[in-house]
Amino acid sequence: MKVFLIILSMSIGVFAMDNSKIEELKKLNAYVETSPKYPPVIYYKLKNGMKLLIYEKKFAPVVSFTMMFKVGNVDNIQGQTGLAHLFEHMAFKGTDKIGTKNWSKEKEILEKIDSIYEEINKEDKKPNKDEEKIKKLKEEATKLENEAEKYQVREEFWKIYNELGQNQMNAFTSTDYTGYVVSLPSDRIESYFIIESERFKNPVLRDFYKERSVVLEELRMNKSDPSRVSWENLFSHSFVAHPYHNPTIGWEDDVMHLTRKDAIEFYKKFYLPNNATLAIVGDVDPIKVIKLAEKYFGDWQSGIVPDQNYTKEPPQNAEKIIKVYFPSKPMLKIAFKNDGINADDMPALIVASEILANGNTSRLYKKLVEEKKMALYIGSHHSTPGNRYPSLFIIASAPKGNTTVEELDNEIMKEIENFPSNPPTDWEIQKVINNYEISILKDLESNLEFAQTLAYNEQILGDWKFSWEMIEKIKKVKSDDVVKAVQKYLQRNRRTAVYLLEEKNK
Amino acid sequence: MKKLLITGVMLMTANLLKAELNIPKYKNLDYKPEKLQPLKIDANGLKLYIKSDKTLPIIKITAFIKTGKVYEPNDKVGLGTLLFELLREGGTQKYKSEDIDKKLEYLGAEINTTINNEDGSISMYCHKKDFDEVFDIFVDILTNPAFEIKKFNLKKMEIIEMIKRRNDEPSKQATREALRMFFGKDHPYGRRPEIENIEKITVDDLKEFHKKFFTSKNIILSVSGDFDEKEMFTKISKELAKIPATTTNIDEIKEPEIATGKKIYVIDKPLRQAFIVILHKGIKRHDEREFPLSVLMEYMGGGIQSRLGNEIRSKRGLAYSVYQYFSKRDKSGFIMTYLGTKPESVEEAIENVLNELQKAKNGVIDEKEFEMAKSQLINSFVFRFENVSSLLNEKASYDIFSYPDDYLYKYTEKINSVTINDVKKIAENFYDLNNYLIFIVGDYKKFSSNINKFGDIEIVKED
Repeated sequence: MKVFLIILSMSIGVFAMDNSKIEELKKLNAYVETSPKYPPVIYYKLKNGMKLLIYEKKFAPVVSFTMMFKVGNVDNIQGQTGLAHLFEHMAFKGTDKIGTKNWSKEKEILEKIDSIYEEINKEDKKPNKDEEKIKKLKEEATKLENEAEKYQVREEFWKIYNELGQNQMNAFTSTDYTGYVVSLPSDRIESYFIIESERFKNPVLRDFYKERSVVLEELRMNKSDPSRVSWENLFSHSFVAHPYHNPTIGWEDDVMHLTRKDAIEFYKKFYLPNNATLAIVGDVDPIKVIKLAEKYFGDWQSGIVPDQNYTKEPPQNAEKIIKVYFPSKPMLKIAFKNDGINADDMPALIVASEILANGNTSRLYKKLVEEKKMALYIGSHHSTPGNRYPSLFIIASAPKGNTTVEELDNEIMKEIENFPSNPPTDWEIQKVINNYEISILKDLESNLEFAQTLAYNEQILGDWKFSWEMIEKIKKVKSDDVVKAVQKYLQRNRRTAVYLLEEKNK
Repeated sequence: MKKLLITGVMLMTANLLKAELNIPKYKNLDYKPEKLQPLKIDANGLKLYIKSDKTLPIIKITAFIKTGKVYEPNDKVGLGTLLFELLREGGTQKYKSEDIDKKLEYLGAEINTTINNEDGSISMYCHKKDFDEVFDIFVDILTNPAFEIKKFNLKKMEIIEMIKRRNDEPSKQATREALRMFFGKDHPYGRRPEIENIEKITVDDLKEFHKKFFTSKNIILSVSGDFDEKEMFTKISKELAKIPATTTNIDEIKEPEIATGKKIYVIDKPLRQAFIVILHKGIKRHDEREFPLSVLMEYMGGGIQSRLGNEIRSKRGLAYSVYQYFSKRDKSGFIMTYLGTKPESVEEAIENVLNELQKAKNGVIDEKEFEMAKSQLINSFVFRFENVSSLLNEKASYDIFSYPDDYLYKYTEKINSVTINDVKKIAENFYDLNNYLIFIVGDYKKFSSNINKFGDIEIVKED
């Protein structure tokens, strides 16, 4: 029960909340976590369904925010892959008040630009497209974009935040979620609520087609990177029916045809207060935070979040080996289908992953990096690319010296297949537990990282306490459970391997 | 715990915020990091910052070391990297490497080593209940490394493999090769390790390098976490008194000769994006012009709202990644502009970058954006001191380079006193449009042939 004590001692230092404050929070219908099992997080739900998690931490006068939506690329319909990510870019383009000098005039022009791009799309998708016509339409669009510019204040959203002294402002889109993060000096907390409530209630997707070009550059950057190329191939070949098949940035042909209308529809469907959690960590007064949240987000209309069940991935029943040629040195990525983060044997699979490839004392490291000197590095993870649906247990490695990717792959498989005859020792299992406990403490050190963990746990995994509860499950894992998990999941008919090979050997 | 100081002294009133949204007006933060008094170990004068922090049951120590890759002998480039890898992984007199791995990984503790161009560090992180065990290993790594032969050979092999793979990531390749051409292939600021350098390195070389730099005058410690300060100081003094106080001669680095004229180097590679680096001469360390230069960099290339972010990314959609920053060394420095764009728009992108630099050089600096850049630097400064360990680490990492004691304390004041004319002067001096180097990794046949207007093109074969 070590972790309980650790967190208890921590809660005394960080967070000495007096009873009157707790009473006042309770009056506001906030839930104050007082169990020594967990850090003293405050949970509050607005009437529109938006959830708030607050963790008070005092040292420097700073605060970090994470706004997390349960929408990612997995929620994009076929033909619109990459839309979740492109929308994330667009969410920095301002509102009807931020980024414009005259919204009604600007709006008219934006609509004209949209209809031109609709026409371009129509022409571009024809089998015998008229390049000349497309060129002319693009010139027309550029003219209108220049006209719209007269009414715009370029990147005003960024400018406002920068002047406030933002730190680490960013956003992330994954298969499963979209998260918006920023840190500010803590006296500026109200500004956050003013700007962000505008941003998510009234976003204006100005400069849409320019930003689409920016995203296409991001896509080209990814396509120039051997590691990203191998990951993309691993996911798209592992999944054939479930949308984890699609790259998060989208398929190039989809991205280049996305329209502002698509993005607005997508926003209306998924950017709802009842699909969001806001986590705030730092030097704040939780009562004030709740009042500000009510004031600025209280009137955000809730709605019905669309059904997020998609085509289930059928059993693989095949071993797939994909060879990808690229101008770089070889790499190896391996994936095995898992049954999802909530499967009963997931804690055992987590332990297996750690025993196999976490650190210099792990089995694969000792065998392949040190003893056989075949691998440059080796690592694994129990669930990638997401946790909302059954996902993948992955292994990443690269050959060293004269070893080929194939030899390395064979050796890794040999180790995995030998695993049941060398069941995990108590030492190996305790090591995993100790590491998980420390990693939870580490998470608490950085305001932003902790805000991200809380928001992700709550909004995507269903409970901000998820990490603490997982440790408890891991503590119950027995050696035999780990062997069973390895036998069940790490088998060839669940497996896809990507061999990234040097182009010249094609 | 002493509270950090926030006073209401007005530096300047921000007035760019939109009235329509009723965003409150804020004064720029007048944040000054707490002044820290170092302690010294009696026996050898080793300097350390100690501060207790009871928020988490964790203890962290970092040893900052005045060393660096630039001090490696010319025929043994890579020696410092190998040394720092083996400090962590090569065992010590008291502990076998295997036992260190087992102990640390079982406890979830960490000891990490890093070497940079002109400094290095060894840090430890553990639960307070494990402190004595982990600290004992940390001390032995610092003072009695063993360089086990088995690990020595393994690490050499790994570094050689990394050399073979050094061109896999085009963005890294472009920045490394650009600096190599800029400072010179043999200059410590430009050179890179080669396989034959690594093969030549012996265990004795490592021992010599270690002995030369790991002296009490070259090391500053930062110690933070859940402990009693006096007790901790006594413990550390006792263990680290054995670090010798010898003075060693560190070779003086020659000032690099930076080529004049306009030059473009291209590595031709069939990639979807072209990776472009533009280098101008910058400033040396301890040059007061760093303050106006910092404001200029923030204004020109510090994010999406900056001049280059605006012109290259936002307005024209030419790049996802575009930025400019400066880096200072003891004997020289550089200003780097970086961007990635499709090969067909290389010309347009470079043209627009150079236009922006030209405008600034001509004295056209947008006043609002200039004020915004200053506000950003001043108001976000506090984030460098988010917890006790970062407060101590910031201070120690500047001490290693002999910055004035009040450097961080005065930082925001110095930024605040920068005027628009200072920045104009800096732009005029540093955006030299007759002397620069451009390095591109990309699909050359798709570039416009007009790029030769930016300078003489030389195709370089990657190796």
